[in-house]
Amino acid sequence: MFAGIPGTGIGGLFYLLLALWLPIRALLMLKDGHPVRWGLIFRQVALALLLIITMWVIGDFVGRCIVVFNSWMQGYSLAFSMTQANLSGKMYNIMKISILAWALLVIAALHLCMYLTYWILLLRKAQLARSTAAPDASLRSGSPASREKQD
Amino acid sequence: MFVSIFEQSATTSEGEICLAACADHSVVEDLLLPQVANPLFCDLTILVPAYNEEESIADTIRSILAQTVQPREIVIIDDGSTDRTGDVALALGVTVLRPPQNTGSKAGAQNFALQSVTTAYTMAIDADTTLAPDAIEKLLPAFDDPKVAAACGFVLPRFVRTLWERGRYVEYMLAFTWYKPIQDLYQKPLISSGCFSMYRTPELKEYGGWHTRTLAEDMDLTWSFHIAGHCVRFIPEAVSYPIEPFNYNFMSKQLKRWSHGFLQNVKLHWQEVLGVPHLRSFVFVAMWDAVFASLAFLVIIPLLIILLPMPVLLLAYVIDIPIVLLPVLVKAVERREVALALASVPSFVVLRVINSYFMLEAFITEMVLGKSFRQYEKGH
Repeated sequence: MFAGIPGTGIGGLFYLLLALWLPIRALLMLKDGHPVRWGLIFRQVALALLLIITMWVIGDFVGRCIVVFNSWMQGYSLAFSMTQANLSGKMYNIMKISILAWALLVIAALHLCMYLTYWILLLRKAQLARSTAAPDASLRSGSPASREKQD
Repeated sequence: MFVSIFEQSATTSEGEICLAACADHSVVEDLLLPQVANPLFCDLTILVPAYNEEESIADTIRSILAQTVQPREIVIIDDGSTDRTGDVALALGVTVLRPPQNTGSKAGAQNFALQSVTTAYTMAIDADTTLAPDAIEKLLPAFDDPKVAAACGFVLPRFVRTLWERGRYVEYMLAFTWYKPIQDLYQKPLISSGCFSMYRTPELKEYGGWHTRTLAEDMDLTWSFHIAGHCVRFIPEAVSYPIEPFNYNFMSKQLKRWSHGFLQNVKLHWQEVLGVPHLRSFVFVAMWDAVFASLAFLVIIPLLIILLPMPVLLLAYVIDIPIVLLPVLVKAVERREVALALASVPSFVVLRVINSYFMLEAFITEMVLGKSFRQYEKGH
């Protein structure tokens, strides 16, 4: 996120989504007559696409490592493990759609929590405003209760 | 671009960017100082808070005097230094202010000087930070938009030698190449870095300058601007070079200040931040990463490795390195620093785990135990 904060997990994925959304947002801004920095947008989108490809390549690499490692742990030689894993089609990409889906779900849940907190806060503020406005109104209308208060 | 600002602003009223060619600036006469041919001046005061910075303050002042656009005034706030900070600054011909006693924080020193600022713009620069010669020139156009209250630039460590500086180098290259431009494109940079930022003086004074209620006064100010509906901009072309912590002692002090400062700002502003689109998302996601990435690095991964036992899980500490490396390399190619970037990656892995420790410690102290860490310790 910024220096001093660890991790590129959920935050990294969130920024990836934001980068991919940038061209659509830019078009909407253009429609409303706002200036758009296309150069920077294209740069960030290109980076985002490269990051997705990199994620996929890493997933594939780690998948291969795991298969070979497991085979090696069973006592086979490293060269044999690599050949066998290739031949038996046991290679797999750990960057599965399901993992991405889970990560997206976390981002969605995080935002849901955020909006819920916001709405609860708005409701509480509205209630507070009503409760402070009610005595004021009775004071202005000159009700007996308010007259007692004034006395 | 800049010429057009000059032409537009020369005839504008007080408070606009006001530039004028000036050849007889007294300081430039000193042969030891950088000579700038026909520098342009803008209605700007630069504040440099300094506490025992005799070794670095001269470089900072020289880098300001070498700017293609010159400020009206450079003010060094010698905050009770016990070394020759003030004398070095005076010898270079700038204004030196001395508070009656040490103000106790960078924010305190800056506020002391802010009272006397009369220019339309105020810039804050750390006493260990130097600027690229065109940094002010690049930052100024951001204020063409009247809604912009603050602008900051790209930050890079001046020296990249030790493990800590190398780790920080990769962190900055990643943050300022990937995260911060996206935050800026959504018009909500999370922080206008305190080491090099420029502000509209009336807005800055309206918010009481830099508050000492948190340990991250720059983040406090940035969020206050966002909440009030002002714009904050990130200009990657304006580059500054602070001296980053070169050993664990300095680094730990800085990380403690940053992590506690971030959480103190969350505690202070969370209700208002919830009402600011995009900023709330950035803060929420940052909080999530701060807590869960820290837990993963320090607790979950080690536990899994021990309990399962699967040493292959050690890969989790480095699995995202190619993803981190990509934006870093893009910038490194541009700066012709590819070898430096590649050599610095292992340090980044170490620094990230250290970050986790300080962030988790701050979370437990500030959020769980409800204790607020207030001691300001200088850590570069």
